[in-house]
Amino acid sequence: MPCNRVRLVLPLALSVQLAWADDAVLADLALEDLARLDVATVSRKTQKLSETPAAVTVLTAEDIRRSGARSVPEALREVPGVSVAQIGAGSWAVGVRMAEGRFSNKLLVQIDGRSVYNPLFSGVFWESLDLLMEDIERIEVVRGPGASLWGANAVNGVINIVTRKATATRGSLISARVDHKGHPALAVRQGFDIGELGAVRVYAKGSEMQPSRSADGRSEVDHNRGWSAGFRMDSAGSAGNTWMVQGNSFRRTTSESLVTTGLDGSAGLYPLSLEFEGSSLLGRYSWGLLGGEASVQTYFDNLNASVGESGRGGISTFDLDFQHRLAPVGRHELMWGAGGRYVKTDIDAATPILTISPPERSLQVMSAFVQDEITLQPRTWKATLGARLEHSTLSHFEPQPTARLMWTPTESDSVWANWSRATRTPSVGEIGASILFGAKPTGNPMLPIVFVRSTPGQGWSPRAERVDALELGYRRTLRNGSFEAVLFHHDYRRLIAGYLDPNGLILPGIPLPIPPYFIPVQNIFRGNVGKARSTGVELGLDLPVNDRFRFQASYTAVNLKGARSSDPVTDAAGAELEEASPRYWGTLHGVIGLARGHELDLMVRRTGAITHGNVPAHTSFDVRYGWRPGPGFELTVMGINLFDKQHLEYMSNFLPTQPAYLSRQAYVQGVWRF
Amino acid sequence: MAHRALKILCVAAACLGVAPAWAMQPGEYQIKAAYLLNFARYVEWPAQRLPAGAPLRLCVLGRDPFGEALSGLEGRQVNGHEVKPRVVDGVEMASDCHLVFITDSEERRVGLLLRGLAGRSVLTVSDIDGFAEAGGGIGLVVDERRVRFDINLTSVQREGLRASSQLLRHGRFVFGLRAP
Repeated sequence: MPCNRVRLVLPLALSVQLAWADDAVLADLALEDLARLDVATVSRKTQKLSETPAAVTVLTAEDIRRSGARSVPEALREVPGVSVAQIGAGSWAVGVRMAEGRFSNKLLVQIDGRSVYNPLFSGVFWESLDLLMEDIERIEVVRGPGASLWGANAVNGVINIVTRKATATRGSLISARVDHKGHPALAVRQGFDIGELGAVRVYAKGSEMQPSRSADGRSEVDHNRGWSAGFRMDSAGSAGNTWMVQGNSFRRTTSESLVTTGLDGSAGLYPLSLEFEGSSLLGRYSWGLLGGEASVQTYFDNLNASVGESGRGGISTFDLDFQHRLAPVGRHELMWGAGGRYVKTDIDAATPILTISPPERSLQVMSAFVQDEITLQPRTWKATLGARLEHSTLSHFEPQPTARLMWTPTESDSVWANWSRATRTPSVGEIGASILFGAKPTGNPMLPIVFVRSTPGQGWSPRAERVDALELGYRRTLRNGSFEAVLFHHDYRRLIAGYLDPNGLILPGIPLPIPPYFIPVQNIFRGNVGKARSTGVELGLDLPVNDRFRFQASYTAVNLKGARSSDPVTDAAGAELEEASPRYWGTLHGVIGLARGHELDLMVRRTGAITHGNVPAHTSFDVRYGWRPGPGFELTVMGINLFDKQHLEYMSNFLPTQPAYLSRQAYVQGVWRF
Repeated sequence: MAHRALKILCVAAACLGVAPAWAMQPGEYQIKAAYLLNFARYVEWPAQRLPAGAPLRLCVLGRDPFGEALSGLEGRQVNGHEVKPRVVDGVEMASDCHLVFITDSEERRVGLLLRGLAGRSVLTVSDIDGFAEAGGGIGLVVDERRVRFDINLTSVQREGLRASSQLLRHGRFVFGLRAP
């Protein structure tokens, strides 16, 4: 069968090849011939980017496939400005314009419009997300405050994961993967036509992730396994009214070890096993309204996490969102929206390690936004003004404005500048949790050990963190490639951070059944005490060298400085943020098409040292080989971290877990479509 | 170690760079421009909308990704109509056109544009993801490195246009086609 096709295409390709520069020859081809032509280089969807006055990167399904990514964080590694570091099996430190560690509270992540940012600890439980990578249509990464459109917590950026419409996934798919240590992943998906209504797909996936290694490389330090299943249903539109419904359920179990200090000062390991369970249901409808277009979206989401016998936490979210894009009036194109979110959290902790008061909390967030795109001069100058007003039970009334100006002197060049202000709402945990971090040797012979406890500051009235951001960007889009350079400056205020209790140790402290019977407690108070500034540059390049070779590179350098002042409280808080980030990181990727459906990808990454946890600078080298003998099957062999026995990427900073080293690894994957 | 990795990548890049370019293949938008001409050929407009011998206005709405491939269509004959390609701004200008290609710079506005063009006997074409499903006329898709198209027959017919069976036969998916 493939031979037949080659015979058919070959004479055609030869005949048309003679005069490619002449579009006339092509234009004379009939439909059936056009459908048989191979496209030299599939252009990236960059057109829409050249219209956006913001630092935006869109990862297409093809980019994700060629990166060999098994998870969303892996796919994000080559996006300029995004810092990705693996903490352990399935757990990641993903940040934009800085690394914040396990819970990046300044980054909003959404899957098809549903926020997976959890209000309990302000961040994303990456370890609980295992998406079917083949069904992701694209990942949009917006760097810089996206608050005017997306809402709170989009302080440093927004990551939108968009899955394919069910109308685009009609067939069957089986994806099977196994790594060199035998950890499997299996996914199946089936699409159905539902006649006039549209299409629906159902899927299920189970996986076990590759464990990390201990510092000596001898033992495994963590595990992560689980399954997920779901569906998505899309209308096959009529009259431009479209709807979509989707739902999913998952369960994942992770285990790792906390490093604790014993009463005698010796280090010990305390096993920590987490079980995540969640489900969600989302619906969206778009229709014409007053000459414009409106959409309403609602979802319900439930997430439960339990820590063995010692406690559990639950988050239930109900969200309703309305948006309306009005028909352009003169130079103005107006868009507005309003929404409400109701979140209920409850925590049931059976150990003195973690207590939250009150254990049950419900919060409401009401918000509204308006944005006006003003064409100052058709095709050349455009301004965008927008603002979001938000009120949350956990903070004050927070206005979040933005002003953007864009100049497009030619079809392929754009220059933009913007100023935005955004806020990050305090999390339920930050406001109410008291966490006992374990014993710490003091060096003082009278009081050899103290317990360290993080707790809300006395008399603290929590406020949202705030950032003022300035950005200057240049983008050149060519038909098949692009170059982008962005300068940014972020000024953070009211950062929530810890400072030592000025009253000193609490005596006698926590009682013990054994000598010395009491251990004093050192409180670390949380408050809006931190200030920091960051200045940086992000560079991105996508260069098609010829039909067979494409070169992609990204580089980010950030100078993040905590405020220095005479106040030691502010200093300590700023330093915490400063130490969590590398100062630079960069990637190179050679995308190579070999003959007859063979592909090769060579990827190099370099990340600077991180002060927190003394993580040294490191380089890793990945190679992907792909083979597509026909449309129905695809084979991938991937080697990760090839020139290094093992290295550390990040030290968990919220939960002090055992250092997890990433070893040299490989996997093989087959994807069947029929 | 980093140097070793870099060296390998550079050598690979150099090899590919200096190697004679593989057989020249057409660009994506050259092929798409050729499709536009074919769509004009296999779709019939109502006679009052496109009288015999009148020029057929083929418009691009948004940032033009075609470049010379579009101007190359200038003056070509399709069923006795001379093709007049041009780039337009906004629904008002586009509603005079017979065929409108909506570029992906307009993705956020696609619902708005479709509604604005509804009832004006315009054949809408786009390569925005899910265009035909969203109620557009013809969606161009790149599938396995080849350019194919999906047709929403309901949308096309609602505009009073007639798509030939030839066109329907070559579509990847045809939405709104009732089983015979």
